[in-house]
Amino acid sequence: MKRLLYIISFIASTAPAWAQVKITGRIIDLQNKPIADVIVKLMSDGKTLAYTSSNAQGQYTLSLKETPQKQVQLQFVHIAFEKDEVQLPAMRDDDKIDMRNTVLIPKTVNLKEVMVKPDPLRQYGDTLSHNLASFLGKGDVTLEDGLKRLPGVDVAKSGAISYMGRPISQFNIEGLDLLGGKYNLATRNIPADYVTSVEIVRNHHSRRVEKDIPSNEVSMNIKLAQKAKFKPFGQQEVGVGAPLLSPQSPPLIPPRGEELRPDGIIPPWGDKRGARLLLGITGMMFTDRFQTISSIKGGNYKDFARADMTDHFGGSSVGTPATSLLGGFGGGAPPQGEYLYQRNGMATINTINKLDTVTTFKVNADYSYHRASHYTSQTSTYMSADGRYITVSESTSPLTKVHMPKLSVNYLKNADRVYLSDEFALKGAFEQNEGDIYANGKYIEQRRKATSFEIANSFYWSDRTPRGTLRYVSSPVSFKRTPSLHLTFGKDGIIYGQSAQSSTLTMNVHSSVSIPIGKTFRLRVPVAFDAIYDDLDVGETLHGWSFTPSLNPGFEIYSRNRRFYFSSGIGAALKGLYFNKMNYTKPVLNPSADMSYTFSANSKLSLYTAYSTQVGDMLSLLTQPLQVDYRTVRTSSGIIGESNTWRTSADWKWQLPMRYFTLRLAAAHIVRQHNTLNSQSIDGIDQSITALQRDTRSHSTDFGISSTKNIPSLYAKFGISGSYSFGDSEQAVNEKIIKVRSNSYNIQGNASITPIPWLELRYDMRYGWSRSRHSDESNTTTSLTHSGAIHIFPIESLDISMNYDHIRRQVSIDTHKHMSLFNASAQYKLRRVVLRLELDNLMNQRTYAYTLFDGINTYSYTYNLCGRTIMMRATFKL
Amino acid sequence: MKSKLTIILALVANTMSAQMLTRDSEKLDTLCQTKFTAVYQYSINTSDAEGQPVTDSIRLALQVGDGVWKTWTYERYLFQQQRDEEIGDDRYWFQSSEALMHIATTTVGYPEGKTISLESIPPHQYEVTEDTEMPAWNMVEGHDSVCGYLCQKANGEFRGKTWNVLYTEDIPTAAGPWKLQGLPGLIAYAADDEGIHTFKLIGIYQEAVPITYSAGSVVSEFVIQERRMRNTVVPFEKATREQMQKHKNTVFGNRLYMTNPMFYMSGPKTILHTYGKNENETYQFVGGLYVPEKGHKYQPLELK
Repeated sequence: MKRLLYIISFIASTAPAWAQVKITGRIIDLQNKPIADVIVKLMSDGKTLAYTSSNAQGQYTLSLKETPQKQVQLQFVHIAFEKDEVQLPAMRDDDKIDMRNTVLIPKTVNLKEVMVKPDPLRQYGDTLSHNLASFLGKGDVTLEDGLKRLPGVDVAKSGAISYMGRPISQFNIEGLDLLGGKYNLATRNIPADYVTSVEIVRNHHSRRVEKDIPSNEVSMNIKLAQKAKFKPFGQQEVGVGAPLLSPQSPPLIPPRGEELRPDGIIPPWGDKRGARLLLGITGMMFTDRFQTISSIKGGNYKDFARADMTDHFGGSSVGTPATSLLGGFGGGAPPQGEYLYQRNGMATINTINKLDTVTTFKVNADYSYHRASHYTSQTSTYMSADGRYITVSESTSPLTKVHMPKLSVNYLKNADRVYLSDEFALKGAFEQNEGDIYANGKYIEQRRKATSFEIANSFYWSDRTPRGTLRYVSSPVSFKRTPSLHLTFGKDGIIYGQSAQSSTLTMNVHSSVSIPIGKTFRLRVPVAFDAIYDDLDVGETLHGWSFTPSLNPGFEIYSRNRRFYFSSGIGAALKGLYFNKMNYTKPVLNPSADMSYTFSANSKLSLYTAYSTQVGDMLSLLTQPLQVDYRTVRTSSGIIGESNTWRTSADWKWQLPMRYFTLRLAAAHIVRQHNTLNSQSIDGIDQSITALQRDTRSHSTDFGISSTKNIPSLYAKFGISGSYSFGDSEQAVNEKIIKVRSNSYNIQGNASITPIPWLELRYDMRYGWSRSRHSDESNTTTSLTHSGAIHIFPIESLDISMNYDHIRRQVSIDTHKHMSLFNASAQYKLRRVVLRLELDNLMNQRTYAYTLFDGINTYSYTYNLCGRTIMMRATFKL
Repeated sequence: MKSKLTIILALVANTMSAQMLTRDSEKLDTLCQTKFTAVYQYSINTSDAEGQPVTDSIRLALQVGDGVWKTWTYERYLFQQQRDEEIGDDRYWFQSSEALMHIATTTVGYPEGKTISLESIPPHQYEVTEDTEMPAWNMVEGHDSVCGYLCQKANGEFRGKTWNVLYTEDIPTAAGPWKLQGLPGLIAYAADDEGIHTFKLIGIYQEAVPITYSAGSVVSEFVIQERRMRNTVVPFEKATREQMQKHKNTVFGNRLYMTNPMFYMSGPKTILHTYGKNENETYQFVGGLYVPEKGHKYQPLELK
């Protein structure tokens, strides 16, 4: 009946009066109340010909410029009413239709609700603020666990954090740089649920006075939850475990004090029986004006305590001419798995006081101890003078003990107009190294003992005038000394060795004025004076001064919109070396150019090129041969070392923060020239390395790509990266020059995903291929690693995980070695306690082997690994 | 004494900021109940005072009632809904984004046929009433999905800018973020063709909560004699759209604004400083309105 009325009214209103079809009407509910915001659509064959919406009185007017030829329907849609549709007959030109009242029946339309999660990511200018809780997985305990899940963030095994391929240059907690490069102490001890957000600051400036100068630095700032502020908190860790030893896979050589059995069978020494223990306590407090993290840890399980003391910005070690000349026999950690046995401990106190809004006073004091032992066998194949290859097989059981104390005190004023910093540091390194070798059926004793310390003070002042002129003066001073370093070798009852001591006093004064000229140009005039006094005694005495006054006038150009930036400097310096063996003066130029174009806040292209000349490697003046290990004698050239390097690089970063996508492309080309070339000669197993006075060049070109993508709804992160490099260099055998060409590529992909709430999967694949060619020979090695992890959460607080690493490494031309490392763990999280049972190396993989081609030589290594181990640990929140 | 003064100032500053976060002390009129609330991520690609390109971003709540809809900052909506825990620890950061992005509260359909915008040019807030104007939309072939809703494409001119939008007929309303409206479904995504402004739907709540309107703001002051805070309601300044557009272009579009956002304020003024989560984040308020230390390049939504 209602529709009939419509049709009647339609017929009644068909008198042509306007030049278009017009439909009017009113929409009401069952109580005769007008309904606003009803979408009124004129449809034909499923297509919308015209639409409008009703006003507060429920009235609507729909106009059509062209008369529809087919049948049309009038559709009424509203979020709180049942949809209605009226069929209209064919229209004629200039029809005017009054639909009168249309009554809609209430009906709740259920919308598909979309919950707004706390912003996983906020962007303010150069700062990306990640809400950590949005990215955390169920099994994550520490801040480091959470950081691994952030888009573009990569956390290395050492704990080093990088963002889009660039290592972070500063790690702040609530805006304060408490720990410097030792930020593992925070990332591995602060519970993830105590952190609200992680800020990544791109184009970071550590000095506020330089904030309008382009920067490629990246920093990270941690914001803490209220529960982590104003009151002390911390954690206590306790763990007890044991190695599950088996008689297989004996160590490779007898340890000291043991004898070889007459039958030549090597007894199963080496595996340290007894308990594996760990104990640690960490306390922290963060207020607006004061922060502290103090910790004491020790144990003989993995690198439990040592890992917290890693300094990612360097500067904690003490390197002197003596220690660089006569290195240790540590052998390095196994690339996969764990040392056979290690013990480490540390104690640290770190405090920072905020004196006012821009001034801080910081004290960092720490001590670390590390003792590691393991067993390796090495096969070295050297090219001899007649082109034949000589293979030397040896086994070693290095034992390394290092004590490293450090104290630093820093005063910092970092205001918009002035920057003032003074840091005093005192550090030492007490190393003891035993690198006994078993070669050709003989036992050779190698010992190294070195003591080094450094006292340093670093002063930096900078200010910005109201007109924008930037000035700075910096004056780092340091004194490094190795009072004693002894190498001793014992072979066939003969004891021989090498001693060294060195002192180095370094004084630098650097200053610069940077003056803006107009809005797009800035002139820079840096001047510097570097003075170094060295005193080295390695049986042969070398002492003298090195003076380097330098002037590096340069300029910076910006486009008016600040997207384009170019800077250049000439880097003029006068190198003066005044040693007891030689006086030498030479002017050098180190020109450089830096260019960038910022397409948007999230896309930037950077280009850099620089030519640099390094003159004055004092150690090359030594003329007496040095015994650096039991069978290697090294002889320097006796002339001033000089190297020239030309480096060109390009880097493009693109990211879509709100889509959690990052992409980085990079390329670099490096040409190096050096005025000496090392030549090796082999006599039996003895190796002699002599520096030839001959120019040598090397080239290398690298390309890299990396990309990450997060899908927060799945708690998923995907990453892919690849690199390709090629180059050439020269090597010498008995003064005969051999050109070596190499190329390599690496591919890596990783994914972590939570497909269902109780399951989390991680997968990482790495493939590496490298080829080295010289003369008519070509050597290729490949490596392939699959790493996978499955985390199952049967209940919210229980995480059962299995980690698997399968490694395929090439050990000779036709031989590949497959190794599998399998770990499992169960972790139970309570409000204040995390209990964790770890089962390491369940398949009891006892060796790890790989081969390296170093141009003309080939080195094959086999490491013994720590066997199957069980550990029960508990972490208590304090 | 100094510390006591700081406490008082901080207290005043907190209360002053409560002017912008009103729950109880402001007299609010309820215009109607919502049918649903849509939440958008609004971004502006612009440049900072040093000329470096930056992207500013904030979340906006679009409350849709019968013939009336209101777009305002999501955190203010949360505060009014007493969902404080979702705002997070830092109550100030969004005010910084509001100031940098010149976010206004826009109510379409109140009064009928009119649109009221609450604009801020510190130290004043202005109420701008204008006739509701509909963008001229053209339907475009193609569809996409936003927040799981199937959307159709359209584009249209609105006050000097061309907008490319996606709308969903699954949510039948003519509403959209800010003043973009008039399609046969909710506008789920809108971006101007210069790529400067973007609105993207990120949430939908089907709920019946009041859409409110206030004709003035509460200004708090500490009365030393009475040792208490006193709140007074100050009516908003009135302005026409043309006056407001000109005023904003003069102030925010001035080259001095980027480096000194208070350059236009003459005479003595009371600047209150307060701190965010830590003292590195200081916030300054003039007339109860947040003023950034440095501005970002002004990107008007309306060119005509």
